[in-house]
Amino acid sequence: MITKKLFQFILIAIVALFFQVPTQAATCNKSYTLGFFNGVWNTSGEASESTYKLQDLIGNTYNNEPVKYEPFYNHTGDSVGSNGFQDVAETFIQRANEIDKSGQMGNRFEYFWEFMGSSEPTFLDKLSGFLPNAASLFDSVYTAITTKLVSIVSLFLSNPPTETDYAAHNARLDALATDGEKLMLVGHSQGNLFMNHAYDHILPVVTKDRVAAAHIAPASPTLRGDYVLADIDLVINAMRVQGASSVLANNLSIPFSSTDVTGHTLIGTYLDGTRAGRATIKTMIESAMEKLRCTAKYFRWIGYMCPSTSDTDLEVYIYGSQANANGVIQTELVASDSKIRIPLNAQGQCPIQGWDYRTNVSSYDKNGCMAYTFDDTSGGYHTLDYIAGQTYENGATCTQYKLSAGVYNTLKALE
Amino acid sequence: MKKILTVLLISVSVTFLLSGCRVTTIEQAIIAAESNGSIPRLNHDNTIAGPDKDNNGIRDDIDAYIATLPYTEIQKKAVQQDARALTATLTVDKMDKTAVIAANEKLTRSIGCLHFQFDSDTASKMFADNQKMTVNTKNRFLEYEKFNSALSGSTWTLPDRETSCDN
Repeated sequence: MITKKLFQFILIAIVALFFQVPTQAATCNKSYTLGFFNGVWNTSGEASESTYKLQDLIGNTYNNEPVKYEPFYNHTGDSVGSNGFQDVAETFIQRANEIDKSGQMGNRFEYFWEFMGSSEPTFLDKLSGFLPNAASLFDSVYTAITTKLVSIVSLFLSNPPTETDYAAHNARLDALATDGEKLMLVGHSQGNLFMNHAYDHILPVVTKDRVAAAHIAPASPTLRGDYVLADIDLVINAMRVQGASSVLANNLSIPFSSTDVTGHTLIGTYLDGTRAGRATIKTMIESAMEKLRCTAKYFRWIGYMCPSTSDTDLEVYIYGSQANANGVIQTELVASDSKIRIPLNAQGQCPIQGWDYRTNVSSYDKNGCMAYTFDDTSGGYHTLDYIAGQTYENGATCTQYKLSAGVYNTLKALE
Repeated sequence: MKKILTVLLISVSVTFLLSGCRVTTIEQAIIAAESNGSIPRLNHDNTIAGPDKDNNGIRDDIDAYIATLPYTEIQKKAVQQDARALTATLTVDKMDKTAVIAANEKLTRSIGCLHFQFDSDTASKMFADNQKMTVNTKNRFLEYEKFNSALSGSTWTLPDRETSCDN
């Protein structure tokens, strides 16, 4: 039988060391999800197409970890109650009818897609082969459409989307965070507004270690990461000319291309393999991904044996130490718990027979108390849920410890 | 009525070609380009789906265009899959959210299939060409708008390219 005197020299404190950065997500997969927030006038197919192009750019793995790709779709005008894309179509019909009184071109929407930059202007080029002055006629249509697009983006900026518009994106981000994904968000044009909101929504959940943002042709004046904005981007340049002082400075100089008149499209301009934007964007995204870290959480249990603690002083403390990516402890978080003393039975004997596994860990000694692991696997690391499922017993001291619900919830909130 | 318009257009084309081919207007340029085949002659009627005599889910004029492409049969099937998926986005019930999502999944898979069968640039061109030729009238455009509007705010995952082709 162990004497009460022995109890007086033992204080059991349980130290939970967090390795990697704590987050609210319960798990961490060693994988990335790249979410693409599409730009103005994109159809759902174009959003998918753009995301496939980003997949071509970054690949299916990064740092030997898989990368999944998801469009986060927004449709121009919906969020501000505007029929923006239809307005552009009406502009096309009006201008096409001005340069072609027969109405043939205005009735052929294949040309609309080419004027929009959604398709290379192969048909328009064919027409130019038959009609020498066609290019000058087409210029007026290009100008009218670009002007209309600028007004829509400006309207969008002055009437930002609402929480309802963001709801589905938020829900998906929450699910990805819970799944433990590292999130790389990429926005193009007006998609940057949606991306900014998405980033702000998920950042408190996963911290900067698990979410990063990259902006392409940002229409938004605020940033959550690095950006690329071409000097030939007519849409953004027009916004600047119209007095949008918050438009960012151009930081990419690339030559004009006749197959990409607006200089604003993701595929035609920024990911064009013949110009510098593609490599710049690849570097920007990969640099952001490089900073993302898996935030798996492991706990190490350490107890203290102190020479001058009375029986009635016995307490349990939970320490959570936040570590950086290299495992170096940065801060220490503490939560109190109560220890459990097992009452002796009628014969004055301790009813439990267990014995804890102890390994001294002198680096954690403090205040004259000797630190030792309090664990069933010689001081190994475990998840919080694993530890919460264990009962640690010491027949010699007739003590028992099981993580209380209160402390479990406290630690969970720190994750 | 449609036959009359077709005959008229052909008559104008023949007259124009016989007149010495001097093109001075965009209308004439369109007629000339469509007549000599440098631009495909597409259907522009008022229907959404357009004529599809073989009921393969692809408008006949687009079927004919795909047949002229200088690609292998398996590559042409990928282009057909994409054209079929695009046509379905026009005809799907836009009030049926489940059906809209299913149509978008098929469209996404079809684009994945293009990227599996072609190099990246050609795949992009094939999708862009299919889109502009399928959604080639105002009525079709407005239906396409409803489809895209119904998807606004949603997300989806790109499927594996290797398993995206129907055949």
